[in-house]
Amino acid sequence: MSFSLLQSLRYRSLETPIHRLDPRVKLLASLSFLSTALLFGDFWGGLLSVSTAIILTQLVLLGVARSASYLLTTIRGATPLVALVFILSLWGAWDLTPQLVELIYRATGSSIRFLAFITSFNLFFLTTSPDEFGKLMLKLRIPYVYTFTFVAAVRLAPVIADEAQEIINAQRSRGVEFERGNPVKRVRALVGVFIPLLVNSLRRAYEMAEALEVKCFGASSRRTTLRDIKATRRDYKAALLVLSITGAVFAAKYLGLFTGLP
Amino acid sequence: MRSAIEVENLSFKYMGSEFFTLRDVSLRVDEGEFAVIAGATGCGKSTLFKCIIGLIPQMYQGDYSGRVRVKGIDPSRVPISRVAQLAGLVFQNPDNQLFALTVENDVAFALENLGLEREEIERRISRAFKIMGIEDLRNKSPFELSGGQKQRVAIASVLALEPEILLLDEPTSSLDGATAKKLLDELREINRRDGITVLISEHRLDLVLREASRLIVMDEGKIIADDDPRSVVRRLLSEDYDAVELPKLSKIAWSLRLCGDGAIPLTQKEFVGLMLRCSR
Repeated sequence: MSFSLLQSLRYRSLETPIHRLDPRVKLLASLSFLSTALLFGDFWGGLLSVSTAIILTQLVLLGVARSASYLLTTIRGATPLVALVFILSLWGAWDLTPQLVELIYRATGSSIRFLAFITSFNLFFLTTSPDEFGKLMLKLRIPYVYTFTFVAAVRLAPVIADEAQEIINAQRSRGVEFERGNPVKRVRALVGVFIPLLVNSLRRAYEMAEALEVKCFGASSRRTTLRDIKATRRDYKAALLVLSITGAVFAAKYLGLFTGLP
Repeated sequence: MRSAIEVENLSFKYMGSEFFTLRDVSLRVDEGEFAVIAGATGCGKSTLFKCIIGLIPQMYQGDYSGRVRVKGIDPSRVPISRVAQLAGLVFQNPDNQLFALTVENDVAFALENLGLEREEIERRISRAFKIMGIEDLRNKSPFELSGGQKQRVAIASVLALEPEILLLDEPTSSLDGATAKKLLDELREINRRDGITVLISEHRLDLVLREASRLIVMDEGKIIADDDPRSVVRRLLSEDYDAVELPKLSKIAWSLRLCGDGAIPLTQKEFVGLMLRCSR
């Protein structure tokens, strides 16, 4: 489950209007989804909860970005967690709410809110390259050492994954079975993968540190960048749209336009 | 000729180790040389490079004695970033020295770290791309590259610093023969055309000695031979030294006693020439 959740957040390089947007605008949109879901995600307007609207908006935007299927993968991957939230909500409010229909509405609202919460950054992660993310972190004045750690982790993850696969293959050729036996045996088999992987990773970390030194890492306190992210008129318009909609939702809430349960 | 690298009586023992990895090493590499260091694995080649660039003793602790100068600068006393601008070091494994997510960013990485202006970075990386002939890889991700391409990018990223000296620690170890030969030819071209001093540690002497102006052989932390490649190969053959894989054709010519007092052939062309002379 958790694996499919992570897979569904992996960036895919595509040429779409959403992919071309400034990452700051996408971050703003995702933050807007997150904050709205957090603050009043379980408010209902007619038959539609705010959270449902958030998920549908993301679905449409990711449809434009030709990545809607990955949002559905996230939703599918999160189903057991959402079901758990539903059960816990029912259980928690059982004594407080006498009406069963209202109880189900509340539990459904909480579940959808939870789903909106965990999918809120799908738009950002699916359409923002790690490189853009690194530049965004710099723009947000996050110290370069953290930005670099993130970029290096993204850069090395596939290398380490390949290495893990090589170790697994080497162990298999020696007769180790990873899919058979009881859980204790399986975990023990994985220890044989984990230890060489850890040793290799430590060696790699040392070699990387050497390479960083000779590449003048940290030499200047005023590090420059070759390519910067630049907002265009289109990005400003998109940011304005995100802010207007978010503002409208907040206004609707405080003006009492959300009517509560249908 | 002015010296690019001077090493005098250098000894080093890593902290926790019982043995000295370098023992009383003395070496002088002049500007414009294309020198090759050979030796069995663990003979101290990589440690010597780390001393030249300053990683030892700045990053690795241990017993360090002797004197190293890179263009007159003591690498043990100045920031490594300053030495790196004079002498660029390319490591064996390109995967551990490419950090960015595009080739362009990787080549620009060190220049960004130095805080250079964008125009200057652009100029330098364009030059490095041109020298290594990898303009077409500019927007690619390092994931998409072959081993040879990755090593070229790693060299380009060091060349972008515009060093006067290029140190390469077994750069062809993960490459196939043809790719290794092409890369070594390119390095020789850089040495000739741009006047960059090259010091390279290499196992494939068949490929690299054709172009080398000098061969240095290390054994158990000591330099046991240091002369023009032909003289060193002759000496090692006469001593039946087998810790270094000498060029096969040199060995054949030596075993057949074709050379006499004449020159040892280092290339196929020289070997054929020798055979033809002998048949006459």
